[in-house]
Amino acid sequence: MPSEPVVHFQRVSLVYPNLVRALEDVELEIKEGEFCFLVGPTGCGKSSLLRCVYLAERPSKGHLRILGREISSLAPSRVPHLRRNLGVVFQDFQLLEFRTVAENVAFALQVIGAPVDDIRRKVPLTLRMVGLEDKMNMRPGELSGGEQQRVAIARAIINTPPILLCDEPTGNLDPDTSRDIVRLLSLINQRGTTVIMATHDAQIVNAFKRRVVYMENGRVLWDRDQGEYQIDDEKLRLLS
Amino acid sequence: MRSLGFFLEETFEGIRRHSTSSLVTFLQAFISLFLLGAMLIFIIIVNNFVGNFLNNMEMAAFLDDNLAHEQVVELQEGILDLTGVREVTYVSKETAFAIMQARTTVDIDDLLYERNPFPASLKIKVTSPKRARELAGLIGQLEGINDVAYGEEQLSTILPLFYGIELTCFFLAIVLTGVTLLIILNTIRLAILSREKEIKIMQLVGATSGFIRFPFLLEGLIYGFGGAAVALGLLAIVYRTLLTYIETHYIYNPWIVDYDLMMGNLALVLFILGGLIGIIGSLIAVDKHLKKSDYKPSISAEVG
Repeated sequence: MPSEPVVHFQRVSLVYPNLVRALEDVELEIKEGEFCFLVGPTGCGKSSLLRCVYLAERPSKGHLRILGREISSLAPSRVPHLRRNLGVVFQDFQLLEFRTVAENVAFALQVIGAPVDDIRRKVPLTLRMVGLEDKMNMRPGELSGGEQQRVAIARAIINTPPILLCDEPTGNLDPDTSRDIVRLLSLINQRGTTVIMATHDAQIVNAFKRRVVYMENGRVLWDRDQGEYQIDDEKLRLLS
Repeated sequence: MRSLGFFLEETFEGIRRHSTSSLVTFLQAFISLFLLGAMLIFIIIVNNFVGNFLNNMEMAAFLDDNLAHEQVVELQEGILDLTGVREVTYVSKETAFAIMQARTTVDIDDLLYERNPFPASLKIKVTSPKRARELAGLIGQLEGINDVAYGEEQLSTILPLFYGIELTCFFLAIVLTGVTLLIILNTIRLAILSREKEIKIMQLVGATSGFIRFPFLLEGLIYGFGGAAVALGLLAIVYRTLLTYIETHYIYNPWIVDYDLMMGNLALVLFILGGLIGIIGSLIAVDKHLKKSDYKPSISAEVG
């Protein structure tokens, strides 16, 4: 019996209060353990789709199920608990400048009331996984862009969420660093975490050959499994 | 319990980061609570003074010179039976004469050609000075009573003055409390703005609203309780100084309240008020921010 998708959009539309239609009749299923790129030009709805998944927006129409839970009927008091199953990484890292690397990563566990022993054990392990175990006591300002993004990834995965959402995580990074980051995300994916990554970097998408969902004007135009596409660098269009 | 350390750390980190506005808020809370405490001391003392005056207030019912002893006793018992009368004491003509003589150095026996014009009277103590006028009316109608005096002039001056002072203090207390509340609210709002990024991350990683609110509530409490503690300390010094001065210069001072009793009452009022102002100001600021920052409902897709 096929398992339920971890993320399931059923004819979802999203209209912001300023009447901008960010998503239009989106149909999308993402299964457990998948690595999925969301691609499309700026303003196509990638970020809005991710915002729906991490519950920053509630769909105006349609049904969205995350980890089997129907979002339209989710009480606001249950939102924090569902979010503990999601890790989120942003283009601008969103790190806390006044805290060290270890403190930034620990923060994600402290604010959900995790035991001190758990925090002490998991922080070094997670930082080792992202290759920053010798930078624990440095502050974000002392790190490179790539290192800062690794800290952000560590914070996102320290609670072992089943889903990791990445909104243009390589947007501020050079090509080599970008590839390193996506390699790290692939490693995380291999351990069983579902990864959804929004990007407009065609080189990355072509290099890593994963499932690609292409969006334009708030709609999903096409959805291809790995190896079934080549993205045009400049126009982000499907070539084959 | 394990989160308490985290909350305290977050709270003090927040205060440290906006230390100037924290200091201003703390000073405002202290000044307001000090003034409120001073007004409270004033009201308690005035209340005590007025109460003492009113409780010792006596009515004098002047008797007919021709009354027999049995008639006087009957009048005395009849007046004691009236509701609101606490004590009735007979003052003879001779005693009245002696009282008047004691108030002056002049030989009034000589002055009055050895006549005694002072009438005998019944000194009446009442339980409630507010009934004085009514009782005076009733007693004045009794046979054998020529006149009744109850200090109506003093009563009509003191009571309105007392109520006026109380009302003014009450109004000032409301204004002070409101101003302090607004300042705490504004400081917490600034604290929230300076930590917006942290709050956003807390929301993203699944912190509950209560968890996010708590450090700011603690911060509000620190301003309220801290201001109350310092205000109480200063008021204790002021009151101790005042007591010492009065006890040194005035032998008779029945309106002064015992130091421990006064401080006990003040501590209760100031800490409760300080705590409430701190919590309410914080709650309003945090709730406003949390409502607008997270998980907004979008509008219907049918629009447009």
